[in-house]
Amino acid sequence: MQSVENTTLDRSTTFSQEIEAISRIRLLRHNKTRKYPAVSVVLSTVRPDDLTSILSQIKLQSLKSFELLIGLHAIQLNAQHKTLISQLNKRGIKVRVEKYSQESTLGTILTDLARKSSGDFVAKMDDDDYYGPDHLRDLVDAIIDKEADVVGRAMNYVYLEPLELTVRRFGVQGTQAVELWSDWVCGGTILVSRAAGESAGWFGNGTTAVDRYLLSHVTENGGKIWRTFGAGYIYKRGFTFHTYSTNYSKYLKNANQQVVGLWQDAIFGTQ
Amino acid sequence: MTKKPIFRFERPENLPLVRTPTLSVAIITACRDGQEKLNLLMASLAAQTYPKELVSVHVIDDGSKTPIEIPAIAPKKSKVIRYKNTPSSWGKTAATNDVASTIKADVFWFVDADMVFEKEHLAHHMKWHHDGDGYAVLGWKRFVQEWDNSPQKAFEMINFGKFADMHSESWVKELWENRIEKTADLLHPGLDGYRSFVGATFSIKSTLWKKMGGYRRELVTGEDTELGWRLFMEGIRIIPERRARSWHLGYSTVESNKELIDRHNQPSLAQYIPEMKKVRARTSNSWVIPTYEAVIDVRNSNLKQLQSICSGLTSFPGTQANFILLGSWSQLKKRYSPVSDRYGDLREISNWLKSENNVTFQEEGDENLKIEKILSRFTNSPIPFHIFIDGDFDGDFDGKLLCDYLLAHEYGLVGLATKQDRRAFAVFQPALARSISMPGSIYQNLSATWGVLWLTHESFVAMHSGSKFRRARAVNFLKREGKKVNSPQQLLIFTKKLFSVLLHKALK
Repeated sequence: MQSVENTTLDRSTTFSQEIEAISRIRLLRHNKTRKYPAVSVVLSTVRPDDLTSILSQIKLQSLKSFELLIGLHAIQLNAQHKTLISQLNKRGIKVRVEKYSQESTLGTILTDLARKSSGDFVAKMDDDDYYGPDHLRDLVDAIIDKEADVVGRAMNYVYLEPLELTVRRFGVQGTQAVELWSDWVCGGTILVSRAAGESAGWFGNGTTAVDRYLLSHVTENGGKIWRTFGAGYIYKRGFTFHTYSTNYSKYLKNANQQVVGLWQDAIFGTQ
Repeated sequence: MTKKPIFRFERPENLPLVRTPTLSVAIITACRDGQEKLNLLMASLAAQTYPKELVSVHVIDDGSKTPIEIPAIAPKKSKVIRYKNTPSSWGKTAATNDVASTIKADVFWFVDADMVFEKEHLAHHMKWHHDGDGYAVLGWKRFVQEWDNSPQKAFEMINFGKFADMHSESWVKELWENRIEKTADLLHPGLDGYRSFVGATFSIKSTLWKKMGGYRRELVTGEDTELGWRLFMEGIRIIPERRARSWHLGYSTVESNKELIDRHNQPSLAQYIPEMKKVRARTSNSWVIPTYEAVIDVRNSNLKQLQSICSGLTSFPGTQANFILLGSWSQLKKRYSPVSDRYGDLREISNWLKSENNVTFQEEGDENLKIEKILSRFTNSPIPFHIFIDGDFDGDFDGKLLCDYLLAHEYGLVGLATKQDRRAFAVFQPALARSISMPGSIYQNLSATWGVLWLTHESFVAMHSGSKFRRARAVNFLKREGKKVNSPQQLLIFTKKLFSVLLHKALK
């Protein structure tokens, strides 16, 4: 039998062909998973609006139950957050909220949250990105099927906030390549086994490059990283301060398609 | 299910005649003498197949020496409106506007009083208006030099399907037909497709006529051309209907008095039609409607950057721009000292430009500018191109080139993003107007109706430089201009033009 990964996916693959191919892979993997392991999600946040947005997305996750650890980076929960958290509790998601001072770094917050978590696997989510409803379940199915130490997504969809535009980037090379062993995945989509995360020192204690910290240490320890398809996740590039530029325009280069607004499809939970 | 938005100027193919029409139509014609030709027109209107109960005819008598009468052969609901002439109300434009504003009907069909129509002419107009809103329909016509003055005979020939046999000799306006041909019946009108809009036979929904405010009252002639420009800029689909046939009795006044008409029309129309670049290029005068409207975010830029953007946009002869500068202008009122001025750059811009007629200052806070908010700053008016640019755009910004690209690729919006996260984009007015008229986000509507494309500034520059691009452009120029050479005088014009372009390039 031909392995599902060998389905040809390249630059000429259209969105509907991509979704069709992905559906096959997802179905096969999902049917293989007998029992879902305990999963913890770690989330650090500095912006109340982003927290509202990500909690609403987490509420819609199809993975039945998991644990959520929220690291408040010098902000407070507001009424809306509290309502969302109680809704999360009702649908079987255990929520734990930790507060961190202004001086804490992103790395220390995430590492601390990961250490306090109890799941067999730890997922990192970023509060300003967009996740489809099957995001967590797809990652768990993939990590079990591939027997990988880390699973994460390719970068196929990027939302450029200043242009209010989603670009689709699909190809066999670079960060766009899907369904392969790699040393890189999108940071906002990391799912790591507890053992691999612990021996890597989780996310370190830096202010930036926390994802690279984990991925490179996993690789150095001989761990295996599987990069799955990117559909179901949209990486966001927001407005930046005027004095600081990130060159988001680079994502326009070689993009296969661009659409105004968030990409509308069930896989992103936008339709 | 929601109706799919109309894409660009697309329209259904082979639209059939409507079996059971429901829309009423008022036929409006203005005349000043010319009863004989009118009799033929009325006979041809009486022969129309479109249901008579839905038709009314309004003949405007604009001060004829012998009062105009409704002839014996005419549609039942026909009447003459005697337009009382005063110093401020005379002529076809004023008469048509004033009378049309009192008529109630779903559709207005405007016709010249020296036309004779095939019997399905009106039905072919009306099929479009039954298909939807946002159409302006033009009839198809041939010119004849001689004709039989018997209305009875005309009625019979038209009624018995012998319309084509009425004349054995007739002429077309080649320039007009060539343009229709070249633009695929105005499906791809470019920027000069509006020139096809002539007043001899056209119809639009009465609501659209009212929205447009009818003809521009200041114009005594050429009012149809100017209306055509505004309809085009409104994103209206102008349909030259080849099956709506007609005879035009005699040459039009434009043909027989070309020089006098040009002397009169060119500057008066160029006031409102920026596409009349050649007329505009003859002087450095200001005109009513500019070529560009540019919204510039100057919150983080200085005078020099702004000047470079502005002069770049208006460097070509015959182009003119309005500028809307976004800044925290209210901050300038606060106490300051010239030697420690936090708003020094903004103040310098204001001090230099505050008396310019084509510059307006709009208040903007500190927040990030969303595309939708920028789009809402544009003026929905017949300015063909709207441009937004960050005042501190890194790299050379060529607004004209961006608009050329937008037009050539028929997008509604083309944007450029730079390495330093700065933005610039150009929007095509027909797309903007239609997007504003629809519910929902203008930006989303632009994408659905005309298409949106973002490029990196880097790739845009690369695409427009290099020897290959320059050679292609030079060949195009020589081909286009060379075609016009058909006399020693034209050769001189061509040589002069070539020389001025070379000089322009050399001095750049």
